[in-house]
Amino acid sequence: MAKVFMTDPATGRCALFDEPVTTGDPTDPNSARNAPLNNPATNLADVYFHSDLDYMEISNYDAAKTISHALVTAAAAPGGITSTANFGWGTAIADHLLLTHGLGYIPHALVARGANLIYPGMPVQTDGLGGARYATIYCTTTEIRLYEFASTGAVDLAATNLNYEIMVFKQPPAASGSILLDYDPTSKDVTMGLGKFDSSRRYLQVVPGGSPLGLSYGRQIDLDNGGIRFGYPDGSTSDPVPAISTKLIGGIGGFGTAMGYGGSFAAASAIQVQAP
Amino acid sequence: MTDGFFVEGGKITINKGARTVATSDGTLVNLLGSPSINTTFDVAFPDFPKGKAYWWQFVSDYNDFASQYGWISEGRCQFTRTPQEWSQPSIIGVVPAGADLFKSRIRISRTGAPTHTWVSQSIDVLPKENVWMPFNGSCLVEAELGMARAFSIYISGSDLVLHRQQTMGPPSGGFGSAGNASPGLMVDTAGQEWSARGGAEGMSVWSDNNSPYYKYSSGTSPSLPLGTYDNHKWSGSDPCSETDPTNYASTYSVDLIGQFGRRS
Repeated sequence: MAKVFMTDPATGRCALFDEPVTTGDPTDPNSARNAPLNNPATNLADVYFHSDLDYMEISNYDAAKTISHALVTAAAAPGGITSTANFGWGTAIADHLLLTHGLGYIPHALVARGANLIYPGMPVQTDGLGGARYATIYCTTTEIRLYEFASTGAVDLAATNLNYEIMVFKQPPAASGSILLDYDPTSKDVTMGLGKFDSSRRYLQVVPGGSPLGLSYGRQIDLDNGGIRFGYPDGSTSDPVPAISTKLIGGIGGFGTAMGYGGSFAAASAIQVQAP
Repeated sequence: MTDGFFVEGGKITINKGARTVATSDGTLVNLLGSPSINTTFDVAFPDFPKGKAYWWQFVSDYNDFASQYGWISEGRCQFTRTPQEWSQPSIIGVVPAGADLFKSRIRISRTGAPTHTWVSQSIDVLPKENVWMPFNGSCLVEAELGMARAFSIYISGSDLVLHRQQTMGPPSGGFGSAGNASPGLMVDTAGQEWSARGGAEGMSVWSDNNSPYYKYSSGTSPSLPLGTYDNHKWSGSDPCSETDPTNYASTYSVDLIGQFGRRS
């Protein structure tokens, strides 16, 4: 199949695509072979670029925002039951400002810890004894914030400073003007699709190399035997619930069998992206 | 790297500065321009399987000096949840042909909360409610000792799938009987029993130190206290209530706004 770059003055569209079929007039924007031009939504698999699409233009970027996370006190003994170790959830709630944006609407944002883009409640610190810190990113019309909760284990979870990489994305611009494709010899910028795409803007990139961040596109949590497995976009996993057994207070004999994740869940696939 | 628009080497490339802005090798995320989905739905989690842990004991001691029997009878019915691995996928949207990515944000609000504490802890919503969270993959919403709940949203073939999952861990140890509280051996006797009352053994998650879930009586008697030894036992007089007042089901209202797309 030929790769085609084509514009349609009648619709104001321009696109770079693979011809899905070889039938139809190559010069007709509405022919079958040029279907991706005026019907990108049903031909996504053949589209490299299309002026109707959203390319996740970056409006704000911070490569390393440092957040100071407080110490989390060790868990207390559970009530109404005895256990082989103390463990609990939901403590140390904190809410941190990551970035102030000036967009005036609720944007999309991606925030990474290391090479992993954070999904709601992703662990960002674990001690192997049940203590762990979990991050959730949320967006307002003015800010990108990080909300944390923690699980607590047998010992205090240490205070720590962690760096986060933050990308905030603009809504795609509306069409303006009448130029479908333009190359400015002075600025050397390429604009396409009535100004909706401009090479001077920074769009999220899917690339090998650089410092890519994993963006998952599948399940990242599995539950089993009272425990939890978190997958990370880089393929690693974390099972923060320790192997704890419980016993009825004053019960006869020993403790029950241990809870804790016993499954075989592997992290979902991820694509590697980065801020250009 | 030279800025501009190039057709060479069998591909098309747009460069700017040090950046490769777009190429026909694929460097962009192609997202459909307007939200593909803007919807609200419920994410419901059922209660875990219920069980009981009924404790009873009787102690009798003959006091030679007073020439009478002293006795204590106690009963307690705690409520358990038994092991469970539960998951439920459901389809919440149709994926456009060729799409393999779903960029979205969610806003959650718990509209139906568990009625009681769990091992003396309230079952809190772990993420922040009523804010827009970028969403890619999964979200743990509740967890306490022995239990957890999460949901995921992902593409599976031509379906956008909501996957709900919850787990309930293994039972507590301690069920069984010890000692001897037989009325025929009442001179000095003590016995107790933890019973699941014919059901599956579970982890004790809720108890109360007051009637009707806990009962206690004691007394003295010049003769064998045959009529009191099974006070507060499930099969005896004045038993504890075995009606479980707890309901740990949860329901969330979830707002979802998302765009389908594909790596270019």
